[in-house]
Amino acid sequence: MEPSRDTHATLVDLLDRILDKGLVINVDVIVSVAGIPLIGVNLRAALAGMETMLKYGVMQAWDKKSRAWEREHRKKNVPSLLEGEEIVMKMFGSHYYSKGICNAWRPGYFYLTNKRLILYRQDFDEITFQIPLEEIKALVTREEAHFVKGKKKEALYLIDKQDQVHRFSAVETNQLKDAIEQNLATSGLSLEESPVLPEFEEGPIDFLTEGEEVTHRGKKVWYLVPASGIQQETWRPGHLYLTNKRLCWWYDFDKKLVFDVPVDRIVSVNTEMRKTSGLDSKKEKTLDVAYRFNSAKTIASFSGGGQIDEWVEALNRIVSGKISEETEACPQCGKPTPAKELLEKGCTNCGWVSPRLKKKMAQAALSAE
Amino acid sequence: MPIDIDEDNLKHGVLGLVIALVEIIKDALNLQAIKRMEGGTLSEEEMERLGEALQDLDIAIEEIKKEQGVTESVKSVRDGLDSIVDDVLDKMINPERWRRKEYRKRGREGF
Amino acid sequence: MAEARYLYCIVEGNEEITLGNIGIEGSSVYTIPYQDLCAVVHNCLPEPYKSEDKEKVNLWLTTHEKVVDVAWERFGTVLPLGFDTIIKGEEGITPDENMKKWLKDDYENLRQKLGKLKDRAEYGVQISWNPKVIGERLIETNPEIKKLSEEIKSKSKGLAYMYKQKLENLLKKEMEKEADRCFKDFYEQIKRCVEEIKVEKTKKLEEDKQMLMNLSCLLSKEKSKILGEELEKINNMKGFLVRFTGPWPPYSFV
Repeated sequence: MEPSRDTHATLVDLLDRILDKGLVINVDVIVSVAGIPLIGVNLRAALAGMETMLKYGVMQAWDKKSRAWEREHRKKNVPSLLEGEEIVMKMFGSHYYSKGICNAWRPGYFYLTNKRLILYRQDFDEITFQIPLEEIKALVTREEAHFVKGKKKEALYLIDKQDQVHRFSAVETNQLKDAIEQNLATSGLSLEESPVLPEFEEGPIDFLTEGEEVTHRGKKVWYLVPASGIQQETWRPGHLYLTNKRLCWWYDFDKKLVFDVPVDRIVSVNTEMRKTSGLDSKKEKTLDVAYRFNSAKTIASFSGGGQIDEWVEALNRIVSGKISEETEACPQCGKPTPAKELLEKGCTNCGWVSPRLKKKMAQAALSAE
Repeated sequence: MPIDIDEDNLKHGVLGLVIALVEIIKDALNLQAIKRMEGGTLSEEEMERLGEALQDLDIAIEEIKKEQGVTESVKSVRDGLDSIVDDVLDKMINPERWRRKEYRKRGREGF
Repeated sequence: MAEARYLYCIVEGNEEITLGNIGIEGSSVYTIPYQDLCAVVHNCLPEPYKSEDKEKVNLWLTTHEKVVDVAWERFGTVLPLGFDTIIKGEEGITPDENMKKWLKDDYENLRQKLGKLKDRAEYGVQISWNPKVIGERLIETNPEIKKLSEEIKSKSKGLAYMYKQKLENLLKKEMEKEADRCFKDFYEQIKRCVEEIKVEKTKKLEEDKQMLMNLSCLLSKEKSKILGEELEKINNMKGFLVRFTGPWPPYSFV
């Protein structure tokens, strides 16, 4: 094996020797050194990095210069631009992608250039959305509920010349909108004044089955989503719908039904004043709907301010009407009897009495004595 | 020391550090889990659950790194931390090596 | 006025000669003799060479090394100094006189060192291995690890993960033991071929390369052939990689 000192790699070896070693002589005669580092950048690290072809530089504990150097030399993913295209602004944000059954917020970096608006996903080097500036017809911002109860956020709606509406959200939505408008102005393009945003109800009612009709609906209603796995129970915003077949709750954020119970499973309805979020300490009127699920009684809680009373009314109509209509099988003999009767009088066939009824009768007997 | 913070280096700096620390803690958890497993105090079902939970944690961290694009930053932070620890240990084991370096450095300051 | 002296190295010699404008920033390099020793210098300002410009600094360093090499070639033996060793003058003493004074004070020591280093050169030896390759070998050869890796195949998901962690830990421990063993063996092997040996700090390399040892060796140029042969043997071992650099002026042995 032959020794060598000619390659780029051996430059590092040289540095190790020439900077740290060599003869040490009497300190008195040496000129003072103003400070460390002697050399502006950690040259050894720089060369070692290049030698071993590491993609990152050596991390000097938060030394500003090294970080600047590192940032400069790290491979940066930027969307490929057209000739003459320059980036005007960059901002983190997301685009609401809604096609068919796929509904999701796609995050990325907005790049506003002098030619288009791009949403770019760095990790995949992918442009998830782009539109040439000339195609932008109008911009609208709208304050919307955040999926965290109590918070609000601004959404940006972009209407293009084909009248397609695109929905975005960004770290500083207003700033983004202003920047786009300014950019368009400098390019000589103009936007429609006071655009009309096609008003759509959040949560299109396309989950209805054949023959199903909505009998009651209201404004935004919060549902206490039950705990699952490590996720605790949380309040989420959405819309409640009562149809002739079921009571269901549509989760705006996921754009799907999260709660769906056939009407005949509902047992009772109750209201209570309860604290629903940690952010404010007010107590709100909550609606508790008790229903049967896999032969166990479960309670779903909803909250939504004033409209709760209307819901109670609408639901009660169902519940009371139902109990008088519904037949149940007697737990003892199996004879189908109207449920109401079964609960209030017991089974006419075998004499079975529900424990509650038994208790009531016992109490009544006691007080009669 | 004035630090210029922009979104990019904030993410790569702070997030990289946070995830690096989470990974280090996860490694410690793994070690402890193995110790308990070897100690024979866990039932098979418990071991199974523990294993699955740790594996999920592993996967989750990888996902976050990929999604945020900080895999390199995290590695860089961990390597940086490793080399700091190495230096400290080296100082303890080879004090002469560092004394000499200090001497040279100090020497240049012209006492 | 350039009243300080930038010092490159100390050599054997008794005349004042110039080596040309081969110094940093094109300075003229010459010798300052004291008895049979000479300091190889160029005139500079009494302040160190510093810059933020990587290219510039790089150039300075390679220039420093070139001068030392030229001196080495010319005078046979050198005592090299590190970069930016600058001698200044003082009240009533010129830098040249200061230089001679220092050579005089340390004469014995310097002479002795030069004697030891005559005809010797420094060589760098770095031995690395590929942890994956070595790991695989250990899994095959180490019974405990092999058994564990077989067991994992039959376990359920969660348990498999736990056992996998255990395997990795075990493997890591065995690799460390193996690294120690290799270090000792190679060290002995190399020590036999060289006159003096110094253990340096290992460096962090890429994914598939882990540096086991970083040595500075002092030996004559002829003997370096024998060292080369020994290193060739190690390099040929599966999973091992040897980096042999040199000959360098004996920076590590002064």
